[in-house]
Amino acid sequence: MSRAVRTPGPGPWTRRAMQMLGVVALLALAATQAMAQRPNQRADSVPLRADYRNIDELLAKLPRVTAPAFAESDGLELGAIQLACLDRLQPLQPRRNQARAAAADSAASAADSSAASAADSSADSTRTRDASAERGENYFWVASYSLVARNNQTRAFWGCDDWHSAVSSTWATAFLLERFPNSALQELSREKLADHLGASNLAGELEFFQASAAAINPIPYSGQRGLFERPYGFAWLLKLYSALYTWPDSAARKWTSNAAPLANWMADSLGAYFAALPVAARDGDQSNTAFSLMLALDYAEVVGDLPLRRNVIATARRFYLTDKACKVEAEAAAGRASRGGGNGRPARADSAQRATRADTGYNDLSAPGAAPPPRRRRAGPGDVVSPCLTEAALMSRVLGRNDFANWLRHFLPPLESGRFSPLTEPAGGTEAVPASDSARLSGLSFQRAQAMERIAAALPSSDPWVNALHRISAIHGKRGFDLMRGDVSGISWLPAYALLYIEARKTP
Amino acid sequence: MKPTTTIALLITALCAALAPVAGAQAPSDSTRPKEKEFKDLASFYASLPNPAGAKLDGARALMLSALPLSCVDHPHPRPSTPPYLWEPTYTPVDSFETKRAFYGCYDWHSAVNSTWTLVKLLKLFPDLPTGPAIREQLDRHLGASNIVGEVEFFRSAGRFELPYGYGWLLRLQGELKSWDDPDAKRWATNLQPLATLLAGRMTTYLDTLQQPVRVGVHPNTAMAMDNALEYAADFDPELDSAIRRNATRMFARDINCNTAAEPGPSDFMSPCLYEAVIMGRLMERSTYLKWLDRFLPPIQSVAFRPLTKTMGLEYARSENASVSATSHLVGLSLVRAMLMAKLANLLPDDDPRVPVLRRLAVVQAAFGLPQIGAVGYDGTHYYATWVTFYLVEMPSTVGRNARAAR
Repeated sequence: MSRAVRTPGPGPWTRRAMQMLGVVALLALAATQAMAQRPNQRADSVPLRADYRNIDELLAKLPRVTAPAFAESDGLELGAIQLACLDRLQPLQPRRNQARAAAADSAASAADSSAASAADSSADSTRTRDASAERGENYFWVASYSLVARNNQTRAFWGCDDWHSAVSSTWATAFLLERFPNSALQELSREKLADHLGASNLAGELEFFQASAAAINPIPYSGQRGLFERPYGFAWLLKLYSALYTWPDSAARKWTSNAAPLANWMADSLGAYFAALPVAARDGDQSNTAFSLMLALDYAEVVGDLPLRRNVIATARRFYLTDKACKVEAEAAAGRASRGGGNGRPARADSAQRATRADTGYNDLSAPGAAPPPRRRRAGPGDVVSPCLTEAALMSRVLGRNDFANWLRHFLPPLESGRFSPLTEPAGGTEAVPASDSARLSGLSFQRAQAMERIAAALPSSDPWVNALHRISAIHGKRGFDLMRGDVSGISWLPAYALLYIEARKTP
Repeated sequence: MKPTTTIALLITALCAALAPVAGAQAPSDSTRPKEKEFKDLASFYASLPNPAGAKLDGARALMLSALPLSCVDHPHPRPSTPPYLWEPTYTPVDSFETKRAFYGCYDWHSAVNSTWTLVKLLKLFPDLPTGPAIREQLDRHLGASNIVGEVEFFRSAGRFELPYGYGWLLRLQGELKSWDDPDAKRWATNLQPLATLLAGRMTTYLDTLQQPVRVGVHPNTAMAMDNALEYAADFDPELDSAIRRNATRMFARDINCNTAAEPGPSDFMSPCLYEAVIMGRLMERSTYLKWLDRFLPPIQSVAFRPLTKTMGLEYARSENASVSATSHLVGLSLVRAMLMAKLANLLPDDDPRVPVLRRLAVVQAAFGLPQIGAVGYDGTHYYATWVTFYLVEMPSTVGRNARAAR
């Protein structure tokens, strides 16, 4: 019957229409499937601004912001924040961010990381969660807690909300003291440093970490945590040690020798962790691998730890050398103030590259690179790191000047493009920033500014990006200080972020 | 279509970039003795050793039941993580004997699989001399109030034991519900609220899992599906369709399973074999046979060899493995034996691979079986489970006393 109705005219047209319909249907199907497989990703509702013609137009359009000065009075302000927290006991229940930083170490094995990603994606559906019950606490053994004996003599970093914040606060205190030796807080700062960096305190720390490492079951099991505070806190400890190491001061020399065994042990442990890490964590929080690699590299170069330096460089090249087209637009959400917390989407450095293998028909499990699934973390109010900029800042130290400039052009979109615009706008935008989110956005601003300064310092001075990066980093730096002054709580970690920026800003 | 091409290119580039790294991580091939090639399945079969196979008879069932009996009341070890600032003092939860069911055998999931082992053995051998002791233990652990306490705990326990322990709990409940025994009916009634809660969460878990977990330890997705499937197929249509839907989504397109990556340093199971087994249980047979040919290399090939090699204890020592890692090696051989036996059962009876897989299973088990008493409490919580699991999958290994296994 169908043969009988076929006429010369409409035949091919109908066929083409059918073909088109088929294609449309297939595309729709593919789209639905893709969406079904990534249930947590939503389309970004804020459109990017249009591209500018060139870098000159960008410079003309950027607001004129002078990089914030950093005078002794600013140092006093940051120093006071640190002094206020160094002796405040860390709470029994760690805050959310710390739990996450501690969990980051589980990335050390593919088994752990995929378990974490699997668990993460299911966790969104389980709203009522109790972190300790999740680890099986109170199933059989019920714990009651008391302060460890002589904590002020056998522990060094027991203040400031959590371990890594205590370390970074100690670093900030030392940094400020070296920078402003005649500060009004000088005596008080020295007293705190002496109290916390005594020989028995640091020996106790080393003992604790060695025991923690020994207690880890070599067999990964559900709920197993990695080594406490590795990599993020370890990287901060190395940063602190490098500051003490280079500080020409008699007390600092003593603290350096007290801290040396711990720093050596952590450098080795962190190096082993990097070497075994199958996949880089590319999230915008403390687990970000490039961030820890960068602080570790600072240490390795200052102290002359050649094995760690080789290890960091090899790890950075393994993860990042072939990266292209970083998804800066994915960082737009991190820069927005969250409403009620928890709805900012995670920024990822490499989402373009591992979009999906769904289109190839078969899923070849033997293909190189097929094995470890990407880690995925819950969207949350923990984003304080720019994945794209941090990776670039790290690579600026790994590659030679010209190689880096070349790599950077493939990695970041042109600064004048609309795609880069999320990193040119001050965090929090023009909306009022809720107090609960201003500390995070302040830290993120400092971190973006710091990374831009590091990148600019590594480019050839004739590169037109250098000037543009300084202009943009000034916007972020100023924003960081403005937002910091708008918050009153939970900012013990913030001065360290400000000072990493201040430190990066001094042109070599 | 452009984005597709771009993505494909990016993936190719990424793969090319990762290739040397992947190569560098694998132990260099030149240091290994060269694997023998076989021209066909028959010559490979002829080359295999032929150890005496174990039988699940009354004596063995008695011995196997003694292992879980020895651990169900031995509480989970006290946590021993060094404290940083706040030092915990641990006491057992109030009235654990009436508010908890699975507090023995090292950890929660091992307590569950040990309970399953007791149930399975008693079901197969109703006249087992340890039968009364088993019934007494099951009575004490699977009482109504114990399960009420379990449900209460799990309501706020988030991801605890998901998915591995969940899978075992559902296997246990499937076993109880299909057992024509008045005690079992009572235990199943008691356990049902927990099974319902966990089955519902397992459904959500599978539906929201972005990618399967392909590791050789607890979080493995195929293993969770396999453990839950009997209960789901018989008693929970929603979970059943979730398993089918998600296995299709995650596994149907898989080819060339990465046998070279097995076993990982502390693996106790084979991800490739588990996936092959779960798909065999879910797919229509002719489709499955085609899928399997693309998924696993031929059994006689060098590429299949990582799955058949027995890992001696010297392997564990060479890796500086702890006692528990050694116990995982014993576990690995027993789980592989069980999986090969299951795989053989999924193939047509006249398929030439069937006898080869069964022989490989016997060879694997022959390594693991003599070790099962050797590791003490580190092994009691799951050796008996895997041995039982393996033996019920082997044809004619169940002794005369046994009723039909399934």
